[in-house]
Amino acid sequence: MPNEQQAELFSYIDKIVESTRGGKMVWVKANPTTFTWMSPRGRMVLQRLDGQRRVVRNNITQIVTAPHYILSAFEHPQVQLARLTINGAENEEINVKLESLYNAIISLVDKTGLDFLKSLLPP
Amino acid sequence: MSTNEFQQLVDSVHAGQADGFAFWKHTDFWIGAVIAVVGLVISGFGLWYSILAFREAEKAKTEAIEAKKAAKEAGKIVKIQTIMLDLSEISQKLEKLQMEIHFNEARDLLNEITRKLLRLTAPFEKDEVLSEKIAALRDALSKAKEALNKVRPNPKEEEVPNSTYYAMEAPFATINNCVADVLGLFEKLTINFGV
Repeated sequence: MPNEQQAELFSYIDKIVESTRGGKMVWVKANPTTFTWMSPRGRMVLQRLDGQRRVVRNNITQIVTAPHYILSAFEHPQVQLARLTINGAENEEINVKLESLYNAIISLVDKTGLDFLKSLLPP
Repeated sequence: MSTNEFQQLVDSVHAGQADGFAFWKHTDFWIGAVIAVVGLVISGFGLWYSILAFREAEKAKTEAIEAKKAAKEAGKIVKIQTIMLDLSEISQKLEKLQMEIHFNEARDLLNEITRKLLRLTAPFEKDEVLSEKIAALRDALSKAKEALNKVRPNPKEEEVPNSTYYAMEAPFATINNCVADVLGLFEKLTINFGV
């Protein structure tokens, strides 16, 4: 991906993170590792995958478990074919950005769950 | 017979002069001697043939053991070749993983290949040559199960397109690599058997 496009993508992901933290974008847990966000115009999906990566430490190559993230955008909520797919496994910088988005979503989902629990408590 | 008469008889025998006691001059002696010699010769032949028969029997026994061993090895090779065919079939299934695969299809596929692979590899689980690769294969199957559980759709949510494929692509590839390793070792075993 060219640098300009990458910078634009980073800025876009930052905005999504901000909107998520601000509660403007409400993500739904589709399965234990996948979250979706729907809008009338389309749908966004973020999935966490447990991959493996070779790491060289003290001249010794080790295989470590390293999660990577895939962000997909669908033009219409019902469309099954992704219009855009960004795979964090292909670019470490992008992966870090997607990880921050995933963490923001998790925090929001956890907070929503906690709020629900609090609401169950007697006043 | 008095002592003197007996002494005379002995002396005459020694001297070879006693007509009545020269046994070699009697036909009875020669008949007996011939029969004895013939008997000895026949016994000799009998002993010789017994030795030969014993040797042949030993040889036949060794050959029978060798034949039994060869038949056993041939049976083992046929069994291994059947297993290799089944493993190749599993490998082909894993290679045909579709992007559109749904959770329930992936679950069924994983259950099917897990059951088959466990059945096929169970007899070799403690085999000196194969045990390490079989352990790796079982580990890969467990990890695939874990990966699949991570994309189990929430009951009220629609299944996200491609999410199962993304989650299972690497674990299935790992299983396939392990299957290839086991297949390679089985091929080596059949080569060593002289097929």
